[in-house]
Formats: sequence, C-alpha cells, structure tokens
Amino acid sequence: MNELDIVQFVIERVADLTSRPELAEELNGDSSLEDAGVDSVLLVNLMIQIEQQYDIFFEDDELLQENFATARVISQRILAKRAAITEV
Amino acid sequence: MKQAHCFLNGLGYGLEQAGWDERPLYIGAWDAPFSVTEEGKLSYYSADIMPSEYLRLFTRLYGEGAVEWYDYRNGKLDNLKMFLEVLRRNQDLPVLVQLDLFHMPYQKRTFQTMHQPHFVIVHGIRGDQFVVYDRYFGWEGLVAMSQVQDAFLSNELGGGLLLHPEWLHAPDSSEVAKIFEETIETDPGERSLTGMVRRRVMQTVESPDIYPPGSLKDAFAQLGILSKRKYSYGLLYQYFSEALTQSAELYLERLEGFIRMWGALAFLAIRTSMPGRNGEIGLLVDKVEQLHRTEQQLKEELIDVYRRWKPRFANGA
Repeated sequence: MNELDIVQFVIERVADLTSRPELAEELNGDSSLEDAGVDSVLLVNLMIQIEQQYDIFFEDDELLQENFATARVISQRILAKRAAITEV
Repeated sequence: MKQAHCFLNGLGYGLEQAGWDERPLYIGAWDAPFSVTEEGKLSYYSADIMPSEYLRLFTRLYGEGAVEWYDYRNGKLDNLKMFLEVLRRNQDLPVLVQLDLFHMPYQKRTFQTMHQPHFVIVHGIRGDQFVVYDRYFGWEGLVAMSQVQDAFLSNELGGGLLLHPEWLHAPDSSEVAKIFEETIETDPGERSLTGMVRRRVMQTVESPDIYPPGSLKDAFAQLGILSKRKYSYGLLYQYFSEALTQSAELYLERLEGFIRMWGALAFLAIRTSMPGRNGEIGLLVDKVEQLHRTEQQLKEELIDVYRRWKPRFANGA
C-alpha cells in the first residue's frame, strides 16, 4: 500500500460517487474534492468506503472537512492510521 | 470580515463604505433565529424569519441608513421591477437583495444544484452585468444581469434594502452597551442551536419510528451555515478587547476550534444516519453536550471582557 495507490483509489471512488466518470482522469492528488462536487453526504460515503477498504476507523474528532480536502491529504491520513495499527 | 450571517454581512458592506466599525452589528447573531420544520429539519431560513429585528438593531446603532424597497405584499415580478428601478436610479448606492444561490455562478457548491436564499450586495451596473459583492463568501465580481434576474425570480423568499452609507453615523458606545446587555439577558435556552440539536437527537433516540436515524442527515444538513453565526462571538470579543488593548488571539483560536467541532458534529450525524452506523448516536449526544459546555465558556468570557470594557468606554449606559 503506497500513497499513489490510495490517491488513485480515492479519485476513482469520487468519480463513482459523483456519477462523473470523467473525474477519474481529470482529478489529481491535490484537486479540491469540494470543487469536484463532493458535498458532505458524499464525503461521509467516501469515508465509509475508505474505512472498509483499508480496515480503519475515523474517530469523531477526525471528521473535519480539512482532513478530507484532497485525495493526497486523505491518503496521508490513511497511511498514518495504518502505521499506528501496525505498531500496535 | 468572517462569514457569519449573510444579511448582516451585507449591511456591514454599507458600514464599511461609510468607514464605521461594523462589529457591534453582530451582537446576538450567535443566537440568531432559525426554524425547525415538521420533519425536524433545522433551517437557516423560513418565511417566518424576517430581517426586521436586525434592521431595528442596525438603526439603533448607526441611524436611518437602510430603506426597504422589497414589498412582501407584492409578487415576484413586481418586486423584480422595483429592484431594477432602484438599481437604475441609485447606481452609486449599494443595494442589498436576497437571491437564489442556484443561479449564482461563483458559488460552485450550489450553482445549478441547490436552491438556497442568500443576501448579496449589488453595487452598480456594467453594461449587461451587475457588480456583485458577496461578503459572506468573500467574492466580488460581475454577474450577468439575466442570471441575477433568474436568481431573484426563483428565490423561495425575498427581501431587499437600499443602503445610504452617507446617512450613517459611528455606533455610540452607550447604545452598544445597552444592546449587549439586553441581548445577553435573553437566554434562548432550549431554543438555542445546541438546545434544538440536542432535542432532535433525543427524538431519534426515544422515537426512532417517527424520527429514524436515517433522517438525521437531512435534519442537520444546514448545521454548517448555522454554526458560522457563532463567529459573531469573536467579532464582539475583538471589538471590546481591542479597545482595552488586549489580545483576542487565544479566544479566536478556541472559537475556531468550536466551529470546527460543529462541522465534525454534522459529519457524525450523516455517518450515524447511514445503514449499519446507527449505533453511533451516543457519540452525537456526547458531542452536543461538549458543544454546549464550550459555548457557555465562550459566552462567559465575552461577558467578562465586556464588563471590563463598559466602565472605561460606556459609562453613561
């Protein structure tokens, strides 16, 4: 699991959730998900799909817009959470 | 200026033009009214919420510098004619108008996707475009006349004022003190945002057949907008502390954290409404209690800085 793979996964999920397949090509790791049409409901759906895919759980104090602003920000959070699980 | 309340941010544009401090205008905006629909949805707008109370406050603080041109007895077309007439006759003056964000191209979140009433300033005409100042979203630029007209006509509600910055005066400190004390004495209790959110969550806990967890998503969809009103605490805290030459930085940092906490609550509500996640409702209850405690602390600190400000700057009040 590396940052690039996670960024790709997030972008594909965004394209699917927004029903805009062209976003899979148009977005990059630093694109704003809000500008791509990801509203708060879609964002929570995205969080749940990420939790299932990477076997993690987002605590309630992590549920902030800024933590899910771009695919790269999300991927870094996932990697940090996975690393914490591995250490335990 | 922080986004706090689109109507007040619009009035503040007139004060900015006049060179007066707009911060006293936000007294009490932290508990500005909102409505709750029969389905238990919290909404920042409703036909019952009229701007008249804010207008009275504005006049008390700054004088008679806002004239209402929107006539609620008339239909949309008559009011559109009036809007265009007011603009043509007063091209040098700012016009506050409520529009439907659905047609405003600069707001990507709602453009062509969501209908939301919203106040902006139109200040001048350039060819077939209006000069628009949206201080709530921190945007200014040109918008096609046709889009503004569509936004006017499709708006669910309505409203508008003509501002006369040259008629306004600086806020009097003793009047600021009187209004602050009147407002602080009026504790909304269970009608506050935390009170109503707590009540709505408990309805789902106690009567899930009537208020299923799945409905929380819609119930709290506008929490982000409603919580922005809490920025008004910071505007007043800055106003008082600046006069006392003391820093407001720590207070503003904690306020920022408090408003982010509201954002987290909104996400948590959506997550709780999803199938298989209903068990998280206890977290929602805890979060509301935490928000209530933090808000009380912020309010107490604001009252404290006010009490130190009053004897030095508003002794006549």
